[in-house]
Amino acid sequence: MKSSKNAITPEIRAKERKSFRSRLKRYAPLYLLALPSFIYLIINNYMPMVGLTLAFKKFSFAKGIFASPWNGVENFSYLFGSKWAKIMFKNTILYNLVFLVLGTVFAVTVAILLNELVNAKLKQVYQTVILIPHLFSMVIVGYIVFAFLGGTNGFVNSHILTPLGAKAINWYTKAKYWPVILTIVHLWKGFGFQSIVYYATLVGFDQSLYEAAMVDGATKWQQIKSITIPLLKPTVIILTIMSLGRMFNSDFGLFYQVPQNNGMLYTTTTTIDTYVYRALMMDNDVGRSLAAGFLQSILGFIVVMLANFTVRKVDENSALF
Amino acid sequence: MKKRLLSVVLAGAMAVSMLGGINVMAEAGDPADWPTVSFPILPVVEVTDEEAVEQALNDYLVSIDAGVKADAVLIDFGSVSQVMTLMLSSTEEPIDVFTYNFFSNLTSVVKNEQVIPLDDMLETYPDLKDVIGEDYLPLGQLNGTQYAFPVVGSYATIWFYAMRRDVAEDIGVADRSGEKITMDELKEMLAAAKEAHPEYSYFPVGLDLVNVQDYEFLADNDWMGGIPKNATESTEIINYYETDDFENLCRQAAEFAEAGYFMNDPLNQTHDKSHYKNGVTGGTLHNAFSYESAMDDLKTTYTQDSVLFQLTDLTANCSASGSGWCVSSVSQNPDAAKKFLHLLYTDENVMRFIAQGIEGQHYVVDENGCSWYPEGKSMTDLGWSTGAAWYFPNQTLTLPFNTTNVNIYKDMIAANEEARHSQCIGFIFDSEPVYDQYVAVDSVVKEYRDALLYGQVDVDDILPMFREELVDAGIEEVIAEKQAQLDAFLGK
Repeated sequence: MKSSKNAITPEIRAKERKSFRSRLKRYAPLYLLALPSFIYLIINNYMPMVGLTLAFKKFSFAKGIFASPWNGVENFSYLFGSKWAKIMFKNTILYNLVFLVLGTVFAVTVAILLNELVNAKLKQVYQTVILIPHLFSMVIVGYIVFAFLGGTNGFVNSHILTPLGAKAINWYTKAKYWPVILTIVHLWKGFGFQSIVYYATLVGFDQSLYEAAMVDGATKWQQIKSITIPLLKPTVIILTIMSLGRMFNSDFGLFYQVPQNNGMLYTTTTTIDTYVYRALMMDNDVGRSLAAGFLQSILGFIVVMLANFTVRKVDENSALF
Repeated sequence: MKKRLLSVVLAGAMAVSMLGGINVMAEAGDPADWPTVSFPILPVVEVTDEEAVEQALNDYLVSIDAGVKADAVLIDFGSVSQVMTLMLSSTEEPIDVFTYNFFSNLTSVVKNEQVIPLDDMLETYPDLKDVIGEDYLPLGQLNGTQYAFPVVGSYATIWFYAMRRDVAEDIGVADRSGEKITMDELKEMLAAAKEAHPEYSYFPVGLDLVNVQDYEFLADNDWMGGIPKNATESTEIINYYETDDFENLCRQAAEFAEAGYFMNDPLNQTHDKSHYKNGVTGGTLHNAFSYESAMDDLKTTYTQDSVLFQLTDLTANCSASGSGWCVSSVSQNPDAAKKFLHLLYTDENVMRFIAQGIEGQHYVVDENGCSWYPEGKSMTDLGWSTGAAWYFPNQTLTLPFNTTNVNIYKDMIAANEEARHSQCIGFIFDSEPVYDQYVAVDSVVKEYRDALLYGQVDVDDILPMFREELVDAGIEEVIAEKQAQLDAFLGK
């Protein structure tokens, strides 16, 4: 492979072409199987990219996508220049980092625990129970949180703080508590699904490795440390790199519905998505909303490339591409 | 002047079908070749008689030789924004005539080039000026161009405090209904009401209290700059949040919150008057162009037997009319669209088919000229969305529905004339030159204002922070730009 990169002679090229053709012939049924997905991807994910040009245009409904006039980077300026710029970028990135680290640790731990369960019935019960929050709509989650944190009748104020003699807290006006609240809500909602993904990987591991370890007298902890975790590493890395691509996006429902768009919480709950949503609620500006989406995608793309590059340097086999 | 204008309006309303016919007769050929104009209807109930009403409407259009046919597009209320945005960008299935009400505003549809200028309509159809009233035409103008025509309706409003009749009776103020009272008198009543009925809160929409302070906010929901005395004296825009009036409003809110006049957890509630209808609040602020019309609203829309106390004078300002009708830029037949738009403003039969349906089938008319549900029918099984005439171009052409007040539309037009007028009516702010500041200030307003005006935070702590952050976000630039645009609008 390396030599062909350095000096591509006509013979090698011909050989490659031939091998490509023979490969195509050999795998034709498989390519055929993949065709619908390719077509779907092209129509759904690639063709709309043309619309990204609108991020640099002043969109006119009368003129359409191609005839609308260019306006440089004007659509981007509203994202910067006020105190919100710092707040939203900081919040988006920090929440994502915390969610990524805690989410992974939590999910892997639960997956390993599930794997150690012997009783199959119980295993099914646990899997179902931890998956349920994942299926809730964020609007419902928002009201569950409100049932806990409501000022007058919320569970925390009326059943915990007041009986203990503490002063009730007006949760929806105190921004400082929300990083913790949102992290708990995110983990509670997401860990079930994530741990099942990891658990599915775990189940596929070669059992003879564990048997051999047991014969050698390894403890449960040693088995986890020396077999399970190293085997899980590639999956963790792939899932991490993939979520890094969404580093500049945020779960809109979590940051908008759960704090119920309360103004006093904006300093800790505003992410790029919620700011853009609020800004563009005032008018239907296609160019500006695309500008924000475009920026998020580009930054996400850069982070993925950097992460993959770093992984490849450290451990080539674990890299995504 | 008032009388003359009023008589012209009424005469115009009476002569409408005739005029409509004359204007278009010249060019109408074979009805089969007439272009079809589409327009939206936003039903709140299931519509089963679309075909029948369209057929009746088109038969009528043929009978007056209108030269245009119509196609109603039923749009579900919940998806109006998406559907309209798509239809306004489609040349295959375009919408021809539409209102930006419910999903956008005049500035946006003009900025997005979703509408075409309609100045020529005022020359082709000079009766439009009389029907709408020359004073109110600017409500559909931007930078001197007529892009839309405002709906004919009530531009003037009085703010009332409406209290449940049973509560008012218990505290002995029911016989004062209709009286004009001061804010202090209202506070006394509320204190008595809360004592007699602690189960109720008394302000479902706390932010409405600002209306009692008589500011012209130039239709800006964020109140970025206001003009005192509803711009009847001066047109100088000041930073409302820096005024003592705003501070007093905050302190009053703290007082009201303490007294329990707002709902529990006000920051987690939706703020609308349905809480009054549902019996959560014992009263509400309410606005209408007259005492009778407010009473009608409360009885029919909010189904509460109420007494009303007047808090402000009848005033017309920029926030009075938020809606207008336009011709879309994707329309393939703009001339036909204009023709039909004109009929919507001037032909009572066209308006009645659209807003009320077919007589006898969807409504019946009594000997006084008021219309009612047909015997045994109600809103839900009627088959047509009858009774919401107010968002159509000219509700005054319809028959008063579900009310015995046959003069309701005459009174409405008269109120527009009688009201004191803000000098800024028709001014529309274009935020584009200061967009970045505008968006930043909007976020700061959303951050603090509700918490302050529902009494959820300490005024002494939060108000100075709020004021400082507004300035940091650029409220002064926004106000300066607004003032410059307003001066240009006023011809200063």
